[in-house]
Amino acid sequence: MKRRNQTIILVFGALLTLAVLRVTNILIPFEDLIRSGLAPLGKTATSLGTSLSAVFNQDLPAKECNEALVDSESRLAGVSVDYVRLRALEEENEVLRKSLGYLQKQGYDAVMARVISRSAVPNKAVVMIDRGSKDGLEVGMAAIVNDGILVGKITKIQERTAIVTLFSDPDSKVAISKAGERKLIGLVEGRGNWASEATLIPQQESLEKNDVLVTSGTEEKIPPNLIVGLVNQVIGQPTDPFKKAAIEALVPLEYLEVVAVLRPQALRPN
Amino acid sequence: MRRSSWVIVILSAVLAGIYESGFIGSAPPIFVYIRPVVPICVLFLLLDKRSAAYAMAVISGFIIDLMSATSAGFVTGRWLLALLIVDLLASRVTTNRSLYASMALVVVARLLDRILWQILSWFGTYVLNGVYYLEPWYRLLGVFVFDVIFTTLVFISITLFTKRFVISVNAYKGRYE
Repeated sequence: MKRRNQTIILVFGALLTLAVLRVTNILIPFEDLIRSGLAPLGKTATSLGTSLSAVFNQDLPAKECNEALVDSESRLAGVSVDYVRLRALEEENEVLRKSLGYLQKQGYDAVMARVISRSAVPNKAVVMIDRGSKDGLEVGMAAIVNDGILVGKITKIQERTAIVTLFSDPDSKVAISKAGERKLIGLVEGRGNWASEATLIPQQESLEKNDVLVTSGTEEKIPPNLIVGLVNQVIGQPTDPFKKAAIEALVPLEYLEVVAVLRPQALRPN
Repeated sequence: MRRSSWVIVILSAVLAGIYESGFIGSAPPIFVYIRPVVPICVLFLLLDKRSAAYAMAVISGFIIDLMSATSAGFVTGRWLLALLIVDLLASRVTTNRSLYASMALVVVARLLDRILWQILSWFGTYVLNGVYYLEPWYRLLGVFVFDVIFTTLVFISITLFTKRFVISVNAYKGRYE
C-alpha cells in the first residue's frame, strides 16, 4: 500500500513538473538539443517509411496506369510547346539583360534540409526539418524542391528544427499568379489528402487546364515565380463572382525527403 | 531490474518513440494502427515491472512530444496518467493475470489515453488558444484491434516460454499467491 502511494505521488509529481516546465518554456533549449540529437534517427525512420510507402503505392492496377500515362503524355505535349516558347523567351531575355549590363541578383540562397518527421494526423500535411533559426531560417520562408517548385512555408521555428506546412495542408494559403504574368490572381488553399485548390480567382481571369500557377511575390519572404502546380480542372459557374481550380502538384508531396528553404541573403549567418 | 534490462528498456523506448513519431507519418496507412508502446507498458505492469512500464511511457512519450510534426498533445502526461489508472485497476479490479484481463486493461489504457487527449484538446483550444489535432475515433478502432492481437500474441508467448503468469498455490497457506 505504501509503495502504491509512493508511485501515485511520484507520477503526479513528474506530471506537474513536466507540465510546469513545458508551459513556462524552460525546457525549450534542452528539447531542441534532444531533437537535434535524435534527428539522424528521425531521418532514417522517415526515409524508411517513405521508401516503404513508395513500394506499396506501386501496385496500381494496369488500367489506372494506362490512363495516367495517356494523361501525362498529353500534358507533356502541351508543356513541351510551352517549354520551347519559354526557352526562346528566356534566351532573348538573357541577351537583353547582358546587353543592358544588368547583373541578375535573386537575393536568395537555398538552405538544404532533411525531413525528420511527418504528421500522422489525417489531412494534415506538415513536416519537421532539421534546420532552424540557427541557420538563419524564419517563419514564412518558402520551402522548395528541384530548383523552384514550391512545396510549403515555414510556420514554426525552433533553434535547430522547423515545421514546414505543405501547401496541401488545410491551414495553408499561398498567393498565386499565372506563369509569365506578375499579377496576383488568387490563393492556393490546401484541402487535405495531398489535394489543393486555387480559390478567389475573379471570373474575368482566364484560366485553363494545364496552366502553370506560380507564387505571386506578394508575400514578404516568398519570391515570385516559384511553381506551385498545374491547373487540373476549373470549377465554377459563369455567374459566380469567383472561380476555383483543382491544382495538381508537380512533385509528390507525400514522398518529400529533402527540401531547400529560400533564405534572403541578408539573413545568412556569418 | 538488472542494468542490462534497463538498457534494453531505454533503447526500446527510444526506438518505439521514433517509430510512433517519425515512421508512422510517412509509412503506408496500415502502420497508423500499429502502435506498440501502450500495450507493452501494460504488459510490463502485468509482469510486475512497474518501473520499466513507467520509464517506457515517459521516454517514448517525451520523444513523441518532441519529434511530432503536429502537436502531439502532451503524450508523456497522458500515458503516465493512463498507466497509473491501469495500474490501480490491475491491482484492485482485474486481480488475476488472465489473457482476458490483459486485453481489457490494454483497451482501457488506450481508451483512457484518447479521453485524456480529448480533454487536453478542449483545454488547449479554449484556455491556451493553441491548435491541437485529435485522432478520429474510427482510427482508434483499428488501433484497438492491433492492441488486442499484439497483447494476445505476447501473452501466449510469455505463458509458453516462461512461468510468469502461472498461478501457484501455497501448500502451507492453502491459497493463491
